[in-house]
Amino acid sequence: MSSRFEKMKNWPWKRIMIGTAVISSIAASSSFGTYAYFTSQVQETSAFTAGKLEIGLGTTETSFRAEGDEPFLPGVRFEKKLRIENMSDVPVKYALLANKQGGDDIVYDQLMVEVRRGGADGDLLYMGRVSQLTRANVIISELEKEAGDDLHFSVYLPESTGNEVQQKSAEVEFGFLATQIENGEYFAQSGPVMTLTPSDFEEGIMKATERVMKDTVQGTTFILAEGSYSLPNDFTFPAHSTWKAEKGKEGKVVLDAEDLNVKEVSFDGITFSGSGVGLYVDTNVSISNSTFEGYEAAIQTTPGDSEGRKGLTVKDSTFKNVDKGIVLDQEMKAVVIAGNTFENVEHAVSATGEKASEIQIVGNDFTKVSGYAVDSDGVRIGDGITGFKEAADEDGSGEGKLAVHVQQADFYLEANKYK
Amino acid sequence: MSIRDKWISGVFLFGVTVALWVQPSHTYSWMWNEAKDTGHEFFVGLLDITSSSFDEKWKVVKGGNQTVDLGKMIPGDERQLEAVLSKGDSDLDFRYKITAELKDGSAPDAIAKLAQVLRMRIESQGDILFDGLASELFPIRPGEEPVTEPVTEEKEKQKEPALRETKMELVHRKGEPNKVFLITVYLPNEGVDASYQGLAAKLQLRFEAKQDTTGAIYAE
Repeated sequence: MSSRFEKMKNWPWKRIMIGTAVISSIAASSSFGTYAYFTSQVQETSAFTAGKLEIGLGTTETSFRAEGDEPFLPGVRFEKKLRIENMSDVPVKYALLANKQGGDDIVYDQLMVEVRRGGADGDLLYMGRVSQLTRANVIISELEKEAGDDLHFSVYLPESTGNEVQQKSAEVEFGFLATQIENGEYFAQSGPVMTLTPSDFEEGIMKATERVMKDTVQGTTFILAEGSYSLPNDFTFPAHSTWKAEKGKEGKVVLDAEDLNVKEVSFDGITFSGSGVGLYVDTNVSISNSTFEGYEAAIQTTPGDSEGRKGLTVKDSTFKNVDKGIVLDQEMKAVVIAGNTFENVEHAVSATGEKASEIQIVGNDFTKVSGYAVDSDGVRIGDGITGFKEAADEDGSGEGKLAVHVQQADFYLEANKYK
Repeated sequence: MSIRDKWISGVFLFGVTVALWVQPSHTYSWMWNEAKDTGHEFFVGLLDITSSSFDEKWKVVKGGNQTVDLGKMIPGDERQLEAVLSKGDSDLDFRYKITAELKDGSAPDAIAKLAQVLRMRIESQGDILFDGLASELFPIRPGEEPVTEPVTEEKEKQKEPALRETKMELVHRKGEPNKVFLITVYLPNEGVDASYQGLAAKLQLRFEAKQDTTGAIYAE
């Protein structure tokens, strides 16, 4: 016994103790998982799958056509319904788009389109040149998922369009660009977007700004932040650029400007303020949702003969406290003056008949014009003597219309309000 | 440029660069999708009557003068001219009319006096389309309203040339052939007294055409 005890005494008790403790610990641990109290476990596995954003065209008519299958002539409206459907998992917003697929610029540049939601008499979403729709400036803010919009497109050449478009054509593709609601305001612009503030036009920085203007690519959109901008009269607007007031700041972006020469430029939501002549306009100038204040002549054709000058659009704008609103004293074809309001203006539109101009004047409010609403070399048109007065259709229906050829100029007036 | 201005310019250019850099617009960031309709070609038709013609010489129907000289016509004299309206390559319906204009009067009141008595008759395919004072065919002046002569239902049914809007407006339908007119100018036997003697003026005749849509006007 004693020898056995002696042997045990020599065992490595320290190691045995540690080893036993570990084994006990393992045994205790395993018993916890199986027997200790009631337990339950739930596991969640999240798969992050990107949602689907997809739009499509519903069943549409096969082709644009006119009532009675009339041929495509100035004043004849070709119409078509298009349905956009949201097949996405989320609501979307979308922009109207138009692209020239081929044909002649002389037709394409003058093509007008009206887009209405809900049918031919529905809400007007856009009225203006097709070429402006390439800038995706019409955005419908929300289209619910699994919903659709019926849009009515009406394409026409202005009634004042002349023989130069005969046997010419333009192929146009209309479409829609949809994106997430969260995307920015300018998601569908055709070119880069640059934001400018009044300080960019201050002395010392102006030269740098002009350098930037010179280097910008065609199609750039300049977003102007709220404030007053002082532009020198030799300021050069980059060709094919668009100048827009920041969203929600329309009317609060003021350009103090005089004698500015503009060509191939669009303005949207800008207030022009000054005296003398505001803008001298050359080819392809578009002005919408803007205001002109205080000028002797707010808009005037660039002095000097220039054949082929064309494409002036002035729409949905306001002229306040100016002597003359729009002066067309040089040749200018494809002029559209639509939906404007003239307040405390002496003469709203003056155009010489000596030049081969084509002028479309539609839906303007001339009720606060003190002198002539529209005149050609001092002769009143639209509300003038018989033969120069807008008249309803023979059966008394419809709004007032007048097509008149004065010397070399073609005028078409419709649905304007006079005194 | 001062160092301050250079510095400010640098900051500005940097700002612009950043502005361009962060704009998602032209890169179509976020999710997007495009749907396009099939393209449509808007083709404008042609209206061209420039190959229309008037005979070079008037024929004497009644009277002694063998050349056109309104100043030497006497009451009862008639002169006639053939005119052809050519549709050319026109590919659409159009309206047209013949206008007359007295020019270069021999005296200040010559045109006004001749306009009181000079008459015209226009015939085509044996039908008399117009017979009246030449002044009724004068171009419409600014401020004047066209004389309205409504289309009769009968004529519309027959699809014959119809008088519309003015005394001498006709419709040319696409596919119809060119049209020949006999235009006769005459002084009536009565009502032309001695006060008209020696009055001279040139008579200019023209075809004018316009597209056949509501509101279209002639380039008079």
